[in-house]
Amino acid sequence: MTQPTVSDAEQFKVALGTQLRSYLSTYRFWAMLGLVLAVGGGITIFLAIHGPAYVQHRFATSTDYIGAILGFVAFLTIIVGAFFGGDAISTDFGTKTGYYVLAQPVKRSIILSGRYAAALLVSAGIITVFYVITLIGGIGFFSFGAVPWEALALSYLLAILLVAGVLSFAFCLSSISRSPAIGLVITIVVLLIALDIVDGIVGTFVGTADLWFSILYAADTISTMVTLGISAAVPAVWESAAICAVYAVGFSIGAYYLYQREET
Amino acid sequence: MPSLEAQGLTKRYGAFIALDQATFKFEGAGAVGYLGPNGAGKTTTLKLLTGLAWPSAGRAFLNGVDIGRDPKTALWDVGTVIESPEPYPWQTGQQTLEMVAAFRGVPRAQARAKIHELAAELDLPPLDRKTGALSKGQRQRIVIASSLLSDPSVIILDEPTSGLDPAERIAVRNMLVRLKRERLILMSSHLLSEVTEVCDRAVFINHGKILLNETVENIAKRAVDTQVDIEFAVPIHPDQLGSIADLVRSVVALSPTKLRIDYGGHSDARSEILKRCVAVGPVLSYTSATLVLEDAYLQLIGGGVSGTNHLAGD
Repeated sequence: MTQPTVSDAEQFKVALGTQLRSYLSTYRFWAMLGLVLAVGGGITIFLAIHGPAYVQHRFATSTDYIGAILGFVAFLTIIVGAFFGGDAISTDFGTKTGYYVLAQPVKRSIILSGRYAAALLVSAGIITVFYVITLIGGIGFFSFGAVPWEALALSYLLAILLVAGVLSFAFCLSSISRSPAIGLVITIVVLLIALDIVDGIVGTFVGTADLWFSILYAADTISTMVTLGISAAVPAVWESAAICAVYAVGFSIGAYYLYQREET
Repeated sequence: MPSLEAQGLTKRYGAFIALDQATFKFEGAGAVGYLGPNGAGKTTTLKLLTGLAWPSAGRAFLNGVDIGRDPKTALWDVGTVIESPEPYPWQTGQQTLEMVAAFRGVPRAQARAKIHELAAELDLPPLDRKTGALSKGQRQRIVIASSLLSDPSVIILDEPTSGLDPAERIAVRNMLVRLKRERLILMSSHLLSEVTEVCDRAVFINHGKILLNETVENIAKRAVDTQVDIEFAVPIHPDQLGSIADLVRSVVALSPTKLRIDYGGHSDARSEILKRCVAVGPVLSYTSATLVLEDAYLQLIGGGVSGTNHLAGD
């Protein structure tokens, strides 16, 4: 019996690198980057053309401005998560790629975690670009000192945690369909439409303060912690962080289990 | 010593049993042909052996390691090609092969040298082209090359020459004949001629059950030819072979120079027929009309062909 000479960590790096190259070699990363530049950059350029006075007239403070721009992050996170995670599992079972990849001497958990790390890295990259654009606008239209640095940093960290949760959810959902394209659509529909409808229905009966099961509910904190302040954010920062963490861990375990059991 | 073992390997899909208690063990270098019609359970067996599917019952061992318990170690010294797999379409051939080499711990310089060697042997397509832009046959050659990158002691191949043109098939076949001297190869194939040329042992499967597991040599010993094909250097009409009428059941012209003789299967008669035919005209070849494995296949599995050869006993 020959023992493997490559550690799981080394194979993780190969899986991570392969998936990163996959994103950079296909339209997905560039489409997402284009979306962020178009929305974030477009708004900022539009406002810059009208000048700081116009922006200061529309937004009383930099926190109002930054909070309003960050309202787009929840939508962006879901789109990014769906794009980078919606076909994570189905790609191996909907095409004949699985016959190639899964027959290698690599634990499925390593392949999946490499993919997840790559998806998280590129998603975080996209989110970071959006925050940088927002920050540039905040400094440019107001001042360096007017930027709510602490709230913005915490908001950024929560956005990364949110995207981790959305990715786990997307990875899990991607096992439902064998078609990568359908898996991607299902993720977007579930997160943007179905979950929103459920939130609305449950919210009608129990009030919006108790939607602890919904990652969309948690996403609200990203902007409200900037506009209302960290301690006054709705939902509370710890609550949103906990929801995102539970999504990230819980659905990762689910995705791992499904990927482990799936057959070609 | 390379080894492959199945212990009561069973796969059920609801009420349908795709594989029923498959048990075999192969050890040491050599090639095993895995034969059966479509839907017999060949690919299911290979998937279970390589961890692409999970058994409903039973266990599979690669080099003594249970694939269900430790797939990484079990597959470490094993190269596979199952169901015409497709590499990532956005990767070039070089990237595809280097990724597999990295997963398998082949040092980069060694991997590049091996890729170069395999590129020449398998006539790989330009390795800077994306695999998504390659033909099925070109992709299949890349996949076969990737299965050999780490010089595995066990090679599992599912219809390895599927999608290849005749020249490519010959190249792969020759390579397998060379590889089996030091490695254990298990290959499924529809091409009995290919299995006959490459394999030392044949396993026949149908309806999920293994029907025969025997060396090709032993199958040949038990096979009794009833037909021979004879080729003359000049055109010969069946009527010109009146001298062998007492030894044969029928003579059919396959071409102006080639005839098929049904003689009943006695070896004495076979040599006597040749002797008399030589007197009629110059003989270029005199061979059994069917392959040994075709006999066994037809007897065990059927296929609508009759009147050829038969396995004696068993």
